[in-house]
Amino acid sequence: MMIDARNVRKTFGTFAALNDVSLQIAEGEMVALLGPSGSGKTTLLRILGGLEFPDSGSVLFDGGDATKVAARDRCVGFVFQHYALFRHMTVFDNVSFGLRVRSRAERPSKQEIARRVHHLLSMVQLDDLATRYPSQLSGGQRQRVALARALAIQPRVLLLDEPFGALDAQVRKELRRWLRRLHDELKITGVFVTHDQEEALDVADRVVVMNQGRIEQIGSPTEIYDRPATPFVYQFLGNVNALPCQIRNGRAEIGSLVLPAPAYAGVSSAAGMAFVRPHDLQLSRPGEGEGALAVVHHVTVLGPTVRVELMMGEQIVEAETTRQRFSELGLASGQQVQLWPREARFFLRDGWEGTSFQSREELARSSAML
Amino acid sequence: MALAISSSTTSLPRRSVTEPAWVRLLLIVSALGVLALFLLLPLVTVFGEAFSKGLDAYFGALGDDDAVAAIGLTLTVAAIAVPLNVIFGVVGAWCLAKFDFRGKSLLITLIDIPFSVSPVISGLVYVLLFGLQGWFGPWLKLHDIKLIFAVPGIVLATVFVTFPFVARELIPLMEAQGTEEEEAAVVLGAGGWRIFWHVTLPNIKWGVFYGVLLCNARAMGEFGAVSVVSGHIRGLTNTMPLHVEILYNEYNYMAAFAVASLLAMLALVTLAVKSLLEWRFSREIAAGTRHQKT
Amino acid sequence: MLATKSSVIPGFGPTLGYTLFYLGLIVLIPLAALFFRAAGMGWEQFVQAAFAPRVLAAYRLSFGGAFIAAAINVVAGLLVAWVLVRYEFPGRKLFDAMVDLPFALPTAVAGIALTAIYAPNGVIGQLLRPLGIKVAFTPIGVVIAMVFIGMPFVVRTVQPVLQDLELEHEEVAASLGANRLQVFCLVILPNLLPALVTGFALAFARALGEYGSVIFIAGNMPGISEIAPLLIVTKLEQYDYAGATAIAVVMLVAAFLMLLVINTLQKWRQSRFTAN
Repeated sequence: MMIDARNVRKTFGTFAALNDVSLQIAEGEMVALLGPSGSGKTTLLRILGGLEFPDSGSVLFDGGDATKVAARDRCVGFVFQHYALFRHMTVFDNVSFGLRVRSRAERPSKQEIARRVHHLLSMVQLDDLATRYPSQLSGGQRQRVALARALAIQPRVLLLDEPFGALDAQVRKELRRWLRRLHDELKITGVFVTHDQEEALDVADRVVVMNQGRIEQIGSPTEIYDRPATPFVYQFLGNVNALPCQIRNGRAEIGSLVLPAPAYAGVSSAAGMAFVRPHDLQLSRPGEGEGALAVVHHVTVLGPTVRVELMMGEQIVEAETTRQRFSELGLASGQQVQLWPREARFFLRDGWEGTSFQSREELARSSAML
Repeated sequence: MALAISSSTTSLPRRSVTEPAWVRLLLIVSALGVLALFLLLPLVTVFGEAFSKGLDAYFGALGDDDAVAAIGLTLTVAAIAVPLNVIFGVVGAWCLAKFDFRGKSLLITLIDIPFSVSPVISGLVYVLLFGLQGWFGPWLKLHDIKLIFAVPGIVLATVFVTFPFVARELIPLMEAQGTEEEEAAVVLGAGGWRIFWHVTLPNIKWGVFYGVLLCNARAMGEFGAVSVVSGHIRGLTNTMPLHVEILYNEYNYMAAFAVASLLAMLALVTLAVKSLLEWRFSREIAAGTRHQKT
Repeated sequence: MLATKSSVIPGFGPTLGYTLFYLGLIVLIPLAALFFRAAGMGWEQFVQAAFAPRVLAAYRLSFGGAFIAAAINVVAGLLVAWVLVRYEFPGRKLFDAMVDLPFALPTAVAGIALTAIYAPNGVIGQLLRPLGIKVAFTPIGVVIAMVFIGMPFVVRTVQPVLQDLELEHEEVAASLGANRLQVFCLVILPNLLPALVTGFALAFARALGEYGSVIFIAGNMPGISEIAPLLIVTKLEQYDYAGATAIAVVMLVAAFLMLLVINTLQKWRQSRFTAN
């Protein structure tokens, strides 16, 4: 099913949970709503599920207005973070619930219900646990029961709120792969909420990054990671060094480091911020290349990569390098090295400080690549 | 008797799945109707009847010698019974909440017994022990000691029915607070009394007060148990509830309700202070109110 | 009884000693005396006293009335608890505090007030008289008083459970297509059932032993509107200690059985949903 949310606003008291959010989701797509807590991602999901109604704006399902349609008439499968399994019902009864509550005219026969439930349970690999109660299941099993229950009504869209949030790391990874496979098989439109960037990048076709009730960026996992549109996305996804800089006529000055910033050719002088990923920082011996001098402060070896903390003037900078390069340079605390960013992006300070992003599009446009 | 599982609903959760407005209205109206009919109306009736013949008659009824004697006796009985049960409550809670031992849960169940015994039976057991035909009856008679149909019997029966109030408030509260602070005090060299006065008591003082409040309300209002052991001697062994009964049975309704109105006011004050405590010190008494079941 | 976990906190011995002493003196010895007295009666005399026709009628009224009153309380109490927990309306806190009134109001006061209301010339008695319904001085009056005294038990047992119910269960049921009535019957009610049963048992137990609020409105006609606790008092006033003792033992055993049922219920509900 195609979903179209238009200019959705929602406030709780004085707190603006969603501030003019628009989002299109294509048929069969798996979309992640990614953001910190309070970013409005769960509210948006609940509005799509009919558990919350927007103050203004509309939600269209396949082009038809669904804004005022109650949850029970939407035919959406909703999976809660803590699964919300009915404790007093067996696994079988939980999964068959959505079929059993249908009016007599629409309700499948008992045999048909049993057949469908067992089919679903075998799909989620729980067929032999049909008579168990939720309290007798592990976290991962509960999660799969919740999914089977949501799928039993043959929903037009599957909505998942932090689907893996309550699971431990190992189970989470397994279920992630499993959900991805399930989605590829069923081709069902899916939206899930997460605050875990790895989860979003791993499972979703498209990622919607949200912050303070607004959408910061929509794009494929690679786009989101490689070309963050705003300082927020930069900082939220992956490690990044945020370095204060001064922008003058198409050049950015970070301490003694001067980098070209052609998009700001028209700016005569303004405070800005440069964003550099640790693995984009190239380290070399002093005098062997370009860049600013910095002093190695601390070195941490993390398997194949090495994290190096450097002092560039007063500024702490984090760099990541390979094990090989590390031994070539023979890095040690107190040693001087030369720093050169392979890639950096600049944002004008005025535009992004505080909570407002008045000229967000402009900022995105004017951000420059090296 | 389960007293007061606190229900501090300060704010309702936002809910999108709820009943249609007309259903909600219907339910609210019916629930308030039930409360008004069964709870509010009796309360209003007490005061209505009490003041039905004017203020002079009201105060006249309260100023009656027998009424004054009944008020005096009720206060006396409460003044003896409540402190006895407070001491037991604190001592018992110390023992049951700060230590682990075999048979602990049995002991807690035994402490609760008076709540499940009919008040009439609570009185009866003392008559069987100390009455003229009771086990100790002849011996007491020989030594000219009168317990039943006298004030000591009334105190005993009152102590029985109010026995668990303070203890069952304090046990879950002190259990929830754990023993760390006391252990810290021991390590710092404090003795038992010092620990109790300076460490434990400050933590449980509102719980004690809460227990005293409920214990006192029951002590002053107890009817069945006291009725059995009192002998109903006007001016001597009549507590306020018993005096209400006598006046009522003599068809002196106004006077009966006048005395009853004092007890109703006690109930209202108790409820008000209790709500205030639950609201103001919910954390300090929460453990107790949350776990009261029987 | 010995402290199984050695503790550095002082005072275990003296406090345990005092607790046992006081408990024994005030509660256990007197109750034991009752049973010894009954045991001394001999079986035949006991049965004669405990199950005479007038006594049986009193049991019927006490148990039957308490059962009906507890059943009414389950419905009314659930309604009140539901409204107090789920809806916002002016005076909610006041009404919430008022639920405890039957705990706080002395039973004799409640008794005479209820009688005044339901007597043929009372506020409600007047309304019912033309309809040919008599409440005061009939078994109906007994039930009314028992409803009054039992109400808070159901409300206060159901309220916290209702409060802790997770909204998500209702939301998920709605998104699976259940209508509101189905959500209530299939999702909410099963979760409330243990609390409702417990509330019923508590209200029943209280109504069974209740004396003060019932005797005024009951009219106390032997065989018709005479409750068992009153019969104990009557026997005592006639110096029939044996008769009083026999009835008391029956009532006490019933009360302890109720206590057992309540405890078992609570264990059952815990084991049912949390077993692992």
